[in-house]
Amino acid sequence: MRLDRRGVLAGMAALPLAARAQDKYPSKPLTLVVPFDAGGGTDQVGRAFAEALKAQLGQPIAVQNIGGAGGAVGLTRLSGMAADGYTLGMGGGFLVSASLRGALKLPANEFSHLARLSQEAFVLGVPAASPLKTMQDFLAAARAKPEAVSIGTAGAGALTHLAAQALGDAAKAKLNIVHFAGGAKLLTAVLGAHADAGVFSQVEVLPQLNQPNGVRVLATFTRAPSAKLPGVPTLASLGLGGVPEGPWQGVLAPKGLPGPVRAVLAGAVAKAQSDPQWLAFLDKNGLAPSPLTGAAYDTFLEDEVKTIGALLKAVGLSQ
Amino acid sequence: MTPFDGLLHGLLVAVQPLHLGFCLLGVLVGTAVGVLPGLGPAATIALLLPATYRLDPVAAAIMLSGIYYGSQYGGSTTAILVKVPGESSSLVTCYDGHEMARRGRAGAALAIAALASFAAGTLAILGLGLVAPLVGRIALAFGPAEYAMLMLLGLVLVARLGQGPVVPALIMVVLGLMLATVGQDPVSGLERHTFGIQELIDGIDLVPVFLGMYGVAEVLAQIERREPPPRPVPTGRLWPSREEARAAVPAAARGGAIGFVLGVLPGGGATLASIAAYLAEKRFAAGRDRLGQGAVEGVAAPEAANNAAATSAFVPLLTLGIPANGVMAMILAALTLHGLRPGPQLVTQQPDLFWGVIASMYVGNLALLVLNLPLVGLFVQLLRLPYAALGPLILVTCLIGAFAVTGHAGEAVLAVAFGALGHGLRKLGFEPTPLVLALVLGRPFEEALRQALQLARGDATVFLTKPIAAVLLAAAVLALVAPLLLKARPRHG
Repeated sequence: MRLDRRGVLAGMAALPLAARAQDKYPSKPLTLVVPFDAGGGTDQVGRAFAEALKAQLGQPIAVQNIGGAGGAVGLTRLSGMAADGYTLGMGGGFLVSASLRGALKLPANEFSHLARLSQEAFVLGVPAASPLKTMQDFLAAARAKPEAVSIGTAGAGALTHLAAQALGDAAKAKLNIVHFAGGAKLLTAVLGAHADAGVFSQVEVLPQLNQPNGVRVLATFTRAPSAKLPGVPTLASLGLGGVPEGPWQGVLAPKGLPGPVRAVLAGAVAKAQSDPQWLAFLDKNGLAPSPLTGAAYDTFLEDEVKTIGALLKAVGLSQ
Repeated sequence: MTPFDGLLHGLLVAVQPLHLGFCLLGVLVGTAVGVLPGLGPAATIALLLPATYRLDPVAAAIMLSGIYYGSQYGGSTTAILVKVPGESSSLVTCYDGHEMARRGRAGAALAIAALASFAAGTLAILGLGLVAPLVGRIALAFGPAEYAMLMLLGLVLVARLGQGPVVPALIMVVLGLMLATVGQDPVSGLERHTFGIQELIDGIDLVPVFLGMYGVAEVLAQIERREPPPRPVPTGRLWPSREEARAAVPAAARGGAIGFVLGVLPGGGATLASIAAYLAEKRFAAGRDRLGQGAVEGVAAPEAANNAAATSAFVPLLTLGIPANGVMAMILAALTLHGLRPGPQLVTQQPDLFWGVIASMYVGNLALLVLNLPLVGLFVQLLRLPYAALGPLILVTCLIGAFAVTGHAGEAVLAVAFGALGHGLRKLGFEPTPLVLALVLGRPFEEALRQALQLARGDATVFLTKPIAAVLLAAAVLALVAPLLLKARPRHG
């Protein structure tokens, strides 16, 4: 018999409440499944958001990490849990990607997507001593000869990989894309000038700015310029379109939430997104609040499936 | 602030009651994690991360570092007593540590492991405080090409680790490398040999493999024996004799130095350090002929090395903001939770954190010694248990350990499967250690090799034109060929 924490919690909570089964939702603690191990970016966002949501729902929210296979293990597990509003999960671009690549054997819309929460910004970083001083230098060098410029990613099939591919396509240049096992190893390779450039999350390079042996940022991938990187151009301003801006995070639940429960949750999620502590967390970690719900969110998800699908096809990771 | 002022300042931070308490808690948890096979420091820190949410960041960093270097103390205990390494960094301690225990010198082996750990850990902290800014840059000189050759050297050395002939060991290395190819291809991102099993996409986890190959296989071997094994009852003094101490000191010094350097390198870490230190003893120590038959050098060197490496692994994190291994990545995550992003400015911007953590390691190491020495007598008593009780205890601990890593029951099944495989291989005369270590090194080797070739646009001479890579490649070739040449030449006398 499988006995997990959620089951035990639910069981414990159910005992005194059995007689009052018709109680108003939520009448017992909730679980938020983070489909990654503790400590990563999505885990931190999930924990911070759980704090904000707890204040709105008036019930404790336990974070449960189920990592593995780029989020696919946890999402698969979540999809089999009860759609009663007491189990939520963290989703994001990784869900779309895992689904299109086949690791997650479910389409992205097999979940109740409640809201998009936050958006991370990708940046293009080069070693501080690099001869590539500006984005124009980078583009000129990349276009001069195929594979003349090497660009590191945080892993084959990761969003940084798709962004590097899209950047090359938009610039009409063939970049030498090299994969590293995670952002930390990529940063090491760029700091040591072993790779010419790298696609980073903005927050990873902030401590390395304006250091003699640090990293220089040539461009940000977001549509709007970054407040933390004054004077750095956006890719869009240089005429380079269609490049993923960076990972985003959202909150979801197993498919089939009852209407009244979904309404309560949607209200609480919306209010939690303006929680000052949540906003302070986002700012401190270089994330932008990007609330999106309802039909607009559904359209966004459909677009994501299309753009990520096209990029995965371009790099040979999806049919 | 000079390093001396810094250490003094750090000491004041570290002895504040709150910080002192969390330091002691950290090393206590670390010792337990080290003793328990399977549960490693990275998994423990991941479990405890949420609990540090409300702590002040210095206290959190002090506690989590304590878990890491504390686990390096405990890892040797089960390796010596029952030949099941508590951590992968204590794999090589099994050879001589367990042999010592079988000869009734378990107490001496445990004490030497604790003392060598303490000495190397303490000296490495001094190194960390004084030369951190200088040696931090070494980590950056190691790019994919250099790293690939370092791993290659490691793989060759692994084949020469045991007592047996080289060819069976090389076969085990190749088998380990093949197992390491399971999971996502690091260049294309496509799945390899996963048979559509989601849990295999990230590759075969190391913990169930080594718990199976050592713990489960060892129990199987004991069951098969008709008569009960001779019980290794302690003989003589519990503590090391004068001769044992005399042999252990230089070995610990060599092991500590090797460990410090390898700990700084990205991906080097405590496991590689302990292997390298053991091999250095096998080549160069005065008592090299006794190695593998219960030599104290074979305990002192790897245990000193893994502690020195656990300490020096903090150098790239604290000076450059880059984690050298998985545990450092978890500590980085913990600091990030508190909004601290370690980078080159950490020393000047967060002197409390930088020096406080370093100074807390002195306190922690002292506490570990005080904690571990009295435990020696207690642990030795474990050997008095009849095997009918000890065997099932080992088996249950191993299966729980395998399960605890991810919480998937499949991992425990994997441990049993590898136990059967390990038992079969041993009966056929194959040692499991080269396989396990090749599985550890296989993935980073493949990644670095393919990255280096891709960065050089397919030009394989990159391994000869980069000086550090060339030296490491030459060392690897020499290590493989030299013993064969020496054997071909008739011996004198």
